[in-house]
Amino acid sequence: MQNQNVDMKIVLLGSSYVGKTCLVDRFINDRFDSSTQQTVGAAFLTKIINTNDNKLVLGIWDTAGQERFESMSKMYYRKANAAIICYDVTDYDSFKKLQYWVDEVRENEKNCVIYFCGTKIDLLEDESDRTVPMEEIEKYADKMQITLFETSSKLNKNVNNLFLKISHNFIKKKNQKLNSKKMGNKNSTINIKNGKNQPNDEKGICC
Amino acid sequence: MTTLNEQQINENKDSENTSSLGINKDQIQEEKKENENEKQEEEKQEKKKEIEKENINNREIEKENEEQEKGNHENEKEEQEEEKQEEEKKEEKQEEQEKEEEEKEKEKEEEEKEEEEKEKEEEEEEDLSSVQVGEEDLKKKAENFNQQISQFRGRRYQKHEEEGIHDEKWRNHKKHYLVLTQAGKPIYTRYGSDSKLSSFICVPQALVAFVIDLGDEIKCLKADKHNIVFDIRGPIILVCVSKLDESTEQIKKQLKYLHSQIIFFLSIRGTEMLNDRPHLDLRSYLGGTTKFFDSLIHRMNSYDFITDSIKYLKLKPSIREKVASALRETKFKFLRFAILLTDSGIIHLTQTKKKPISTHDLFLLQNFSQDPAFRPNEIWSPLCLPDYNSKAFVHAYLNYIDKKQKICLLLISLDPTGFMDLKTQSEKVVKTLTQDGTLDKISHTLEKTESLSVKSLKIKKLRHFIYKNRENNQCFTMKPALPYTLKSERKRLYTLYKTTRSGLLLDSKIQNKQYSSTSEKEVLIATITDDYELYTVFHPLISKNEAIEGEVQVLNWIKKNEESLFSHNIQFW
Repeated sequence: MQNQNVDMKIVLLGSSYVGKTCLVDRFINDRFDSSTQQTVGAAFLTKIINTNDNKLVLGIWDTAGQERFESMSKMYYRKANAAIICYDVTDYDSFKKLQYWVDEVRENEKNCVIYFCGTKIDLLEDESDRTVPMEEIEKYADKMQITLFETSSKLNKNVNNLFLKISHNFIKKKNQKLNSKKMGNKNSTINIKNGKNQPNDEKGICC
Repeated sequence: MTTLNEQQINENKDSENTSSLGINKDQIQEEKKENENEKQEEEKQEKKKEIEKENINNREIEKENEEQEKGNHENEKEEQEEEKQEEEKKEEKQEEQEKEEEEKEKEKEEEEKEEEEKEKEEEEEEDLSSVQVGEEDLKKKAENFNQQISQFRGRRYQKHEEEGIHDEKWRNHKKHYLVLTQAGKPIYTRYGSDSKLSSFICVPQALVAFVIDLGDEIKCLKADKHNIVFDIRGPIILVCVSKLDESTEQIKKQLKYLHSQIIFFLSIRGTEMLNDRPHLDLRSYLGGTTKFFDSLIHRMNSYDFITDSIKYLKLKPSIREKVASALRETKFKFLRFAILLTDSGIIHLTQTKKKPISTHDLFLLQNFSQDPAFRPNEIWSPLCLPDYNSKAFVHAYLNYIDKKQKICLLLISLDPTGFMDLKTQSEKVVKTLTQDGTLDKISHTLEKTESLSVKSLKIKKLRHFIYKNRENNQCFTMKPALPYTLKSERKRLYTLYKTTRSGLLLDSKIQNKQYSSTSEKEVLIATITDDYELYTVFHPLISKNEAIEGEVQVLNWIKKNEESLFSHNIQFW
């Protein structure tokens, strides 16, 4: 298990108490611990998933959300393939912080694909409980071309889906790159076309 | 035998010193006469205990031990407990009264001071009076705020979270720790929530500020049983209110460690932020670390902390050598320390020759690494080792390589991006240790030694001992015998060790010292030489010669097993 090389590096970011550790715990161990304590430093976890006929080893960084670590978070999202930026759907402040993280990651890691994850949707008895308006976050996600997920670690809603989608997109992107490289080797003139096509294809995936 | 002679000579030499520290021989004899009346009763108890001892021989695990003891002692214990409870009630009442008196005194003091301050500065007066008027409102607000925080920010996992200054429970705690900024913002409180203590936190701040205005620095305040010790370190004020029989010096040492714990997470630069922005709330930077402060305070009642040393685990030299070679093989340019440790002690430490790790830093690292939340995963965290370099961060890689016995590999590196490198190094170590079965052997030995009690030495009337090797600052101790298996008795023993040690170390001119003290509950013999410190505790009805003989036996046993008890050659890369 431990000797596996990590194929894809995913980092979880977001302010304190949004539920990053719970999200990872649900995905890796399929459990929910309501007494989870604040993370100190960062934990590194691995999980092997099977997509189609590919085996993919995910290396997931569960980081601490406190301000103390903000300046040091760079070392966690360095060379990450994907970043899941979490916010609490019942906490507007955590949504504000979202924008800070987007800028931070976009600036430092251009190749990192960003995903938004609204957590704790089990706390929403009806839509009025939302302190982060759906429109606002959707608008922002559209503007930034970022895919938005909403999850509940407690009820195991959408958690697996989130990680599977991320790894699926990663494989797709990787294959595209491989293809474009092959194409590029075959005929250099098509190269320009491919270059034009690529961003269009990726819009769906975002970034 | 030479050691014995030396000791006796030293004893004679130091008789003047010891008399000042402890009890004269005459006094001991007098006490013994007094004790003789009690002897008869105690002898009965002894007989009972001897019968029990036969039973006890079969019991190895402490838990079972205690349970069965409970079974045998039930009646006695109930009686004792009743007595204790009654005593405690009496004490509580007394304490309440004392506290009320103290408070009145304090209030008076404050009033006086406030008056003085009023005379000095009119502006401040307005502020203070407004604070007093709005105190109740503030409390309500604070409570609301606290609720909000607990709703939105999750709970702070502390037993005494809900206590406030008006709660009986909060007042009855024997020892309070309080860390705050010069601006009066709380950083850490051991008991109670910050918001509920907000009105109280102003008091130490005002005291400190008042004395600073006089051009002096407040060090400690004694109010009846309470010893209130202040430690002002830059922008941070640390306060301890202790009801225990501890000296100011001992408490200062504890406060120093608490300060180091802040540095550990923020580095000295982090605390210097307070110089520029005095109203900064450090708690937002220290979020989630409260449990480390709690556990540090808990660890202050450990034999290694008391003797300023590191506790190594008892292991066969061959096993330790294998661990050493495995750790020495870890190769990474920025790696500085590689430590294999468990909750109860260190298995091995490899470090660079340039700058060895201090006992102080190692203690903080051990406290940090033992957090249960770290166990399931690999951890990578920046932290600051105050003695190593208080201005910069190092990066710690943590991996529990044996989850059952909680054996943890800790690698400290200077490179913030070195996680993957250290991960491969760690895998290498795990591979070498599991391949030849060393890891299994270690966990097997740990299982055995965990329950190793002083009884296994079969030294008559010996109840406990601590041995500190002064050469390499390592200590060794074993599980205590009755009655120190009880928590309350153990706490008393810690205090006894602390006071004895600090008393003995006061005069550093005399190198060899021997000291004995006799009380109703135990006989303690302490020896300090250039090479070692040894503290032995015996049954109260032991004769002095017997006790000294017992001490020599302990010493001989340690000499015999020295190789497995201590790691003599600390490994360097």
